[in-house]
Amino acid sequence: MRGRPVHRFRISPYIRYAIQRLLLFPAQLLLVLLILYLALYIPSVLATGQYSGLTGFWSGFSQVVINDFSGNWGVSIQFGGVPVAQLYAWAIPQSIELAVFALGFAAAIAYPVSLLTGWSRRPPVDETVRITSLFGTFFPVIIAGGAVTAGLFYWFLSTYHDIPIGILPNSFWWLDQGYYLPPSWVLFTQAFTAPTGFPLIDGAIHGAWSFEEVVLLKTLIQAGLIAIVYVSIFLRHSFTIVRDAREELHVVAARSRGVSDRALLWRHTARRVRPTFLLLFALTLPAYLGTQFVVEATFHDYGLGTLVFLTLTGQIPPRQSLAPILESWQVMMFLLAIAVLAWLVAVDLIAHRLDPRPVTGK
Amino acid sequence: MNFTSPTPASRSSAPSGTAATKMPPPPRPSLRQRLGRRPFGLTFWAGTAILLFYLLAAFSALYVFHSSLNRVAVNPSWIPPEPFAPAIGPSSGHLFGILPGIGTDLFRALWQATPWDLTIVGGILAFDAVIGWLLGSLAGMNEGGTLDAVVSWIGDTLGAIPSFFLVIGIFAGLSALAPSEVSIPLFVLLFGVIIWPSTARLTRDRARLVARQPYVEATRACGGSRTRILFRHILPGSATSMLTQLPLDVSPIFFVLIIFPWFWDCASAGASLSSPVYLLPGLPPFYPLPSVYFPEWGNLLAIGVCYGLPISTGLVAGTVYWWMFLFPLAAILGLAFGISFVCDGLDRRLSMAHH
Repeated sequence: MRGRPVHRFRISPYIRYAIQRLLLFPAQLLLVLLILYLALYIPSVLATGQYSGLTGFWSGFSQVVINDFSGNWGVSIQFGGVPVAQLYAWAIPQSIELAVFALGFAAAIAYPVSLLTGWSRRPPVDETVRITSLFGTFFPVIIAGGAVTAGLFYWFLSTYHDIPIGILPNSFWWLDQGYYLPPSWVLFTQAFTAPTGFPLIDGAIHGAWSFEEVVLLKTLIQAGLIAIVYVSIFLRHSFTIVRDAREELHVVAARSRGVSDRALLWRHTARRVRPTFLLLFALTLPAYLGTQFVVEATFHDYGLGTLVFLTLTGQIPPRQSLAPILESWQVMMFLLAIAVLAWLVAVDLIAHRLDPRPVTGK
Repeated sequence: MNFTSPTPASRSSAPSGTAATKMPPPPRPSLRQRLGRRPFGLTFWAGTAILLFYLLAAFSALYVFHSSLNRVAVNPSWIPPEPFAPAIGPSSGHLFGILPGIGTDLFRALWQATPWDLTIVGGILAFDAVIGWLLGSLAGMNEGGTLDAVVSWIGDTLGAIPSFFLVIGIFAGLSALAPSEVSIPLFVLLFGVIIWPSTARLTRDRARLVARQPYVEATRACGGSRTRILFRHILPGSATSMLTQLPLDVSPIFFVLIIFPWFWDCASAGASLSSPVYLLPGLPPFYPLPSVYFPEWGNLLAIGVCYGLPISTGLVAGTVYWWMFLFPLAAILGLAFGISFVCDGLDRRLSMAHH
């Protein structure tokens, strides 16, 4: 006798994969915290003779975890006792705004250039890409940033009565606009804006259109520089990916059926390499962040990059004691790790979804 | 049972019904013949020439500066930069000009720094290559196993924090315990230990493919031990991935050595927004170099950019003193390109061998 078919609840392989990746995320964060705790906090405690055994170790670690997750990150002496969490909340939108433009430029350059150079079979193209990407990888960003700043300085000053340093206009520009002091929505003279923290959005909210023009131009200059440097790093890997994809079976099969080279490149190969490019971007994210941070520091923006370097050189917390500096480093690295790990998970899931190859197996 | 198979020559030459006469094996090709079959290519020889030049410079510096290798020669009258003292450019007396701020002859300082930089870069890359190559190969060979999971997980987690920040952060923590004399060896060891995940990740992917090759399966079927398979097949087969990644790891090393002194001297918020820095440069706290007078290319480049490239004032107020940053930059780029060319040449030769 055959009974009714049992409809068991089955999770799709994609959802199962997503759950696995998401479950791994907190474990990775805890490992990052443990590494930072062991490497930063414990040596300073040992050096000052304050180590109180295994109980102290675990209670100290749990306190660090609670502090990091609750946003209890101390106060900044340099910014008049402002909580560090507030400082990050002001700085992060500025960096995100710059990143949106820089990544837009980078994608617009890297995607077609990688496809075209990887597709080409001519040795001069291969050699040119290799040398250019090596040059871009090794050339210090501070020199590129310095050259751009120094080169544009006079033109910027004569055209906009402002200097190309800092994302926001300086106090002389406000004076030129008829303000003795910058308006109240520009905080710390020229560091941050309110209410959202995104300078372009805040300028639009307050209807400051000449402010918008200067900020947009400065953002575009910095974003262009970040994109050029990052694309050369990205290109070293991406053109090899396209070269390998060019020889894959489905491309060879399509070519044998008489599909044009143009269609092979922009439809077959492009579709195949898109998820790999995303994964490559996730893997090179630390390099991207490093590039953006240095550009922000070179141009003296009050974004995350400048805060990172101020923290790492011990200029945000009081310099007399080692422990507060290490704690602030730990917070900064913890935030970076959250950003990179979250991005890795997101990209992994998107790439898994975009991959056109059939999933084989169970 | 003896499964010794006859050579193709003896098989073809043995007449049926008679005992096979054993033919001598073909002579082993000479080194010249082997090189001619798979030439190294121009880039490899160019890279080798560059690295030999650097080695020559390093050994000659050890001989010339043996009594003062830790500190550049300082002339106090050269220290004040423009506008307090005239900038001294390249001339027959000072081939690369004078670096103000620390008041030293740039040619001698760069030459003196060569053995230090080669040691730092070579040491870090050696740790990176050995750990990354070995762990990546072991992980790829045991795909899906515990070792693979552990190596991948630790690698991914360590790779989540930009290596240059993690190195400086952890170095600061450990330098609280370690004496200052071991700061450079500690920095080299730490950098090598932190930077390996990128190498291991690439090597693992390659090792996975090699482990599935028929000749590896055949060795396994013939009873070849895991150690033999690892050293005989997996490690040589996955060397190309390690060679691709190794040159890229030069970049974060110099990033750390340049960016922190530069930020400390030139770009700290209070110093540069309104006026250029006309101070004697210093090093940030928890930095591996013992003093600002320590001969090291990254440190010299940071000082050169600070004084030679007027970032804060632009071309209106300042002049570009190109020699102050161009020569240290050329020294760094030359070494990086030398390493890249050698690795690329070896990579191509190994790839040819596998195809």
